[in-house]
Amino acid sequence: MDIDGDGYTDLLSGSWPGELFLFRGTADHSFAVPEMLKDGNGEIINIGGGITEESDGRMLIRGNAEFERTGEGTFVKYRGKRLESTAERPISTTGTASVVSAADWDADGDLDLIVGNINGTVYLIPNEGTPKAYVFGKEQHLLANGQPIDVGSRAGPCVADWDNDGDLDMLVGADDGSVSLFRNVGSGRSPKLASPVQLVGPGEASYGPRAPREVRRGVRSKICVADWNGDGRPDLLVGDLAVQKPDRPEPAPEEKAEHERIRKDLEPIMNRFNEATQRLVGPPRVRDTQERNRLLEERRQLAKQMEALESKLPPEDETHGWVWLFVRK
Amino acid sequence: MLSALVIVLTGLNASSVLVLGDDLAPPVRLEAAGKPIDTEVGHAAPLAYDWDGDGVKDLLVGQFGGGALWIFRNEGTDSQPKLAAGVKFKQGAKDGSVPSG
Repeated sequence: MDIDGDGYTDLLSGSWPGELFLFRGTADHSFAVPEMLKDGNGEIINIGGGITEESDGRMLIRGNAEFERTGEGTFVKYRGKRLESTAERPISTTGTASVVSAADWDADGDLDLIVGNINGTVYLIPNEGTPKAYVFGKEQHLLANGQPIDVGSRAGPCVADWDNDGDLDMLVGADDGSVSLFRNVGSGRSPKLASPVQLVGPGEASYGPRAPREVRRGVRSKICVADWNGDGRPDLLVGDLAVQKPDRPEPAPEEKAEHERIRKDLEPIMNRFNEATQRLVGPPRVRDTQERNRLLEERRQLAKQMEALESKLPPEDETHGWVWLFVRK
Repeated sequence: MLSALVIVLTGLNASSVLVLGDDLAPPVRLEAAGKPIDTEVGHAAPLAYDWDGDGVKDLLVGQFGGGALWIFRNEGTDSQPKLAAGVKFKQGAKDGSVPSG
């Protein structure tokens, strides 16, 4: 994948906050420091990203932002702005979970971007420039059978010729761990995607006491099509987010009894912590500055107590990220 | 479970069109250096690519923890891959990474 046509392979990545990163390949099999991809207007690309004012007066930033806690207050740095998070207008941040690959989708000789999004849809960002100088235009939903592709949440797309008929198909992983195939029933020059066929069913992720003992394929499938066993037929690689009980010996009866006691002590503290959180976040949100500061302090103290108790308990689950191989039969 | 599904396209050589539906073997976890590949904070994102340019495909795996990227070199062949222990993608002394919030 050589997005600037200089003969060196480049590296492209999405990110949880949502911006897209290009590591340009250089001589020596090396890569330049990452740069955020921008569109033809010079704007940083993050589909669904930006600042919104929520109905309860909170500011929500979807994108790469950095908190700065100083003596004068708490600030958030985002795209050259330095915004203050106050009691009247607290700021929180989140992401759009971008997943990106490059493919010449419109068959005009340069690489376009295919981008999956946390909202479950897949976008095409057309390259309106040249193979040596990309100019990315406005994103558009990719359609299948006339409807926007929508896998529910956390689309993880990959383009590949799955059915070996000479044109690119679309495969999409999803939040539930499934993988769907949208076959190209048009052509390379004029792609037309059909309704989805499920190639892989949902995985699972159970936390806390319900976490399984044995390995189970997880969720949030991020996929890659590749002929892994060299038999000439494309196979499917699926990365996941999986949950499992930690591999430790069963505690002795006295230890178990002690854990039960600690959990009983923990419960009312967690309830008070959640109540304080609810009053701070709302709706309705407490707006009086003195009261907010009192609640924040109470939460800090409760968090300390919770941590002291939780540190005496063995963890009930641990997360994993496996890579599964589905060989084409 | 998927029910078997066969699509026949007119005007194409049928033997070149692969059957869809129930044609994937049960999944197995990929291993490197004898252990299943496992990423920190999950969200493994694989990509098969010939990283070291030796003509044989390797495996890259993105992870959520630290926004990092693992490189697993294939010390085997394209038909019988054998992945070495993972090495993090570095840029100078630091891990190459993207923001992870």
